Amino acid sequence: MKKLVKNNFFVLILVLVIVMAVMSGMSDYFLTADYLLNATRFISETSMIGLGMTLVILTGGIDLSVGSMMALSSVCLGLTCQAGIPAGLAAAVSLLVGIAGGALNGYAVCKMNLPALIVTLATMGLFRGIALGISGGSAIPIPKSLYFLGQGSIGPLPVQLVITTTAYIVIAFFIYKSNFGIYLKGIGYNEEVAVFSGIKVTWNKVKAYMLSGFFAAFLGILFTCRVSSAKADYGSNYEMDAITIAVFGGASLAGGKVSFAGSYIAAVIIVLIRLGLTTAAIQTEIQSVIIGLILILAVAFNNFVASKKKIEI
Amino acid sequence: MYKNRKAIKALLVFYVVILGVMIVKAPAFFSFENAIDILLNTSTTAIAALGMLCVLLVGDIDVSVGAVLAACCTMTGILAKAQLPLAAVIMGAVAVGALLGLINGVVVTVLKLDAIVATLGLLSIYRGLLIIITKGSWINGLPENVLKIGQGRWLNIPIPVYITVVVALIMWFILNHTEWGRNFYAVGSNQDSARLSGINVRLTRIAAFVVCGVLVGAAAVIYTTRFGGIQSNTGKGWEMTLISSAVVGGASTIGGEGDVSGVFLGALLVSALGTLLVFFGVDALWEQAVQGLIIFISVASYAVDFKKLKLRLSGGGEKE
Repeated sequence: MKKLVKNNFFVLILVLVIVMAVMSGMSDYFLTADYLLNATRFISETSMIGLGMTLVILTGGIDLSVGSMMALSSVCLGLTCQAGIPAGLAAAVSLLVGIAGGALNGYAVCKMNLPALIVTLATMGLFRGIALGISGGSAIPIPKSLYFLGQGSIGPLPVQLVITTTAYIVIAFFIYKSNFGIYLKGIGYNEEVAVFSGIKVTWNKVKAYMLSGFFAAFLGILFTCRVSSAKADYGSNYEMDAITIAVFGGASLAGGKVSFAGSYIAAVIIVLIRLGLTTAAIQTEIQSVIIGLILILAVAFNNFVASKKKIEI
Repeated sequence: MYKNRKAIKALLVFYVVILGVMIVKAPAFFSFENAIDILLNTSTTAIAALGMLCVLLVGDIDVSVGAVLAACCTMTGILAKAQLPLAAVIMGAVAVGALLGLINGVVVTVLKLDAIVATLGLLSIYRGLLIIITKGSWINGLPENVLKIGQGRWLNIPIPVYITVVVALIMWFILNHTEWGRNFYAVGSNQDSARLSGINVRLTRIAAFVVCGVLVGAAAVIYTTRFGGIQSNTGKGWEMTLISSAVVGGASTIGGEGDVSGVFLGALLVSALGTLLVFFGVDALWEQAVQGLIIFISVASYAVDFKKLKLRLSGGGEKE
């Protein structure tokens, strides 16, 4: 039992069960298959934005530009489709924009040695501004062929759920089983040591930022396909959601320690709380208070457990 | 200290370039009224950015300032509507700011959380509570005696500008000539050595958060009285403005670096950008992109080594 309490993942599952129990008590619709399947659409969107952030936090950085990148990719998708480019190619262009944006962040952070918080704060304004500028601020319709990505299902499962879960598994596999993960972890723990161990610190860090941009852009596409039009004001404050998810899931902002399963469960918990409270007709303001409290308490608990661990060693 | 000087240098170069371009492109920019207008816009940002500077100096960050501003504005509005004297209104707003700053500081230091995570959580808690308490209503129709602060002029210069100058001078004195101020730098540069030299690190960090809250409270009084009304979503995204002001002005997010003059120049640049772009005839849609680009460039310019650049320029035509 003692060991289980110390395991962050176990605590998250416990919180999830409690949340489910409370929500189903508050609303009769909550524990039905339809409701939960529909909820997975939102869950997968939120968890995808957390995935890129988790990667960046692993290197000890932070990426505030994800929400803006999502809007930029959405607008790019809309505009390229409007220009008559086939849907598949248009989506590829959006993803490339995401990777390029991530590369810009990575370059400024790693090559110019600027703090990640500041660089991504600036690019947050920049990406959102470009999205606003090129779209003219208006909503752009997307072709029907793309609707499948956001509204279709594979068997009984929504498309987003399949894509995001696959993405999580692939990334977790690479991080836990390949050198890339070891490099990132090493960089997060101690960058200087990583340099002296012969790890290509710059390139690996830039890769993490590019992946973050990529997933933000991917989310932009999925989101656009769900709501059927592209717009420049999507994803505002998503960076806060992403940080909340990563940290709630057990990541340390100092770097070197993250949990992908934890991030996924954290996204599930946060979205279920939001949806559940909405279904139970509770004010959004109370939701924001509850989510804030959960974030602080969860992180305080994690730190408490971590400090206990240190003493035992 | 060296890095900070470099940031200020970069910023000054930036100002010269911008002003140079303005002389050619839009001479109308250089009018007394316009200068006053820009200074007025800068006042709230500059005052609060100085508070943010203190938090950054000790190596923390406060992203809840937007919600704190909204809370202080609401307090100002409520007290002013109750026909209380001016001093009481100001005291009330500042007290709310100090209280919320104290909560921030205690949560960060006692629970030992990352400042960004803790204040992020507190941001959503404050905002939620504020809207629950005020029921999302707007406050307007403030009495004349209070509006004087934000809208009045003395010697043809708006009162907020005087307040900003006074606050900046006080902060300069505190940060450079008092033990408390120097402790901020010491704690931010190296917490362990600060503790070993007998500084109460936790108290210093809490003090930084309280100072930030107090200054945001002062900014809130100006903000409320200048516009004469408050919406419930006041200050949304304001934390980004303040952080970029401080950082463009050379404050380091790791702690221990930054000073009042730099942050003041940074706040001036960030809040004057809007006006500048209008004079340039930039389409309103592209405004945010250009603002982001300029902040990005000014931050990136710190990475440029001026000495090397000078050598290269004087060397003449030497390749990279």
